[in-house]
Amino acid sequence: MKQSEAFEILAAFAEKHNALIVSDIGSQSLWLKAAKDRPENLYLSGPMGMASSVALGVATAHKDRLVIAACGDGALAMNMTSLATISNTKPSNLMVVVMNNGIYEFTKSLPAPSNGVNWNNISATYPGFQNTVDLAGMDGLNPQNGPHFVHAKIEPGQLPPGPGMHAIDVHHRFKGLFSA
Amino acid sequence: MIKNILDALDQHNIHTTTGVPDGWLVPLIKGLSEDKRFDYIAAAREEECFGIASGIAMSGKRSMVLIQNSGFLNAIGAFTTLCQKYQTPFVCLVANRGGINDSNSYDPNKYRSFEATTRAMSLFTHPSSWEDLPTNIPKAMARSEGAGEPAFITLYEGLKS
Repeated sequence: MKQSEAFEILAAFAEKHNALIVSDIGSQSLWLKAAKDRPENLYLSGPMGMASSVALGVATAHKDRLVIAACGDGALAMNMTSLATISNTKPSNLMVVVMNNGIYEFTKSLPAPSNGVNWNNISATYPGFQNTVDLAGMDGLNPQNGPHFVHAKIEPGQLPPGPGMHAIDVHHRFKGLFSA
Repeated sequence: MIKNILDALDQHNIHTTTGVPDGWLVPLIKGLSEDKRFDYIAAAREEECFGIASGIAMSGKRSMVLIQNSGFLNAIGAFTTLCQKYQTPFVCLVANRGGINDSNSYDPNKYRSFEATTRAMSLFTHPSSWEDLPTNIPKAMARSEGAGEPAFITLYEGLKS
């Protein structure tokens, strides 16, 4: 599956569940924007690997909304400790999705050390996660009974279309969703 | 003392906190963890704290981070590319180890580097006693929101029992 197709599935799932999505730098943010640009999308374009942590903050702030972290495998490998924190915190409204192509797409497709991770077994290593499913299994999840981990195996070699949004615009558009 | 700090946080709608513990911060972390008015997220690493606090800020809510000075040094990359780039306001309470009140051999380098780095980055830092935290935390939160950047409060000693 191409990453563009994976994001079309994820964006449709998010829209169906009125979910908020936090996406990682570069590839994930741009493919999410291309699939479906919504104010509910919080695009990260600077900090590599922080989507899972930012999403945990959003999920804690808005416990009545499903929050999805859309992570790259190389990015999430830079912040694996966030999985321990999420496992320990157990936010029931959080879903972490890893888009796994095994390479740094934006860095001339160098192989990523995330190839050393078994993404299919995350809920065994981090038992606070209720389960680990693939993208096809996402529809069978109860979004309010997380946290869940979704492993989306994608093909390498597909650079996303630009441009992205300015960070300040992303911040204020997202925060505007919660204004009284 | 801890009750006064918790009450001040509650009155100013700072209900979510996250941190990586330092010995000086333990009484406050215990208070936050045991008080049902608050969520305390125990993070494994300080970059996560900056991510969590930024997510809360961009969700329109307030938060406070509790870390040691060496933790800030761990997390400068996330601080610059997330907190500064996205202009996320929150309070960061720092145990500024290695100063006049520390005789541990492993702390002075943390103090020297934290002082030098925050000064070089022109970050807002304000030293505070524990007694002044109930007033300084809300003021730092207001300053943070006005400036569109995190505000650091530094502690120079542990809580005296």
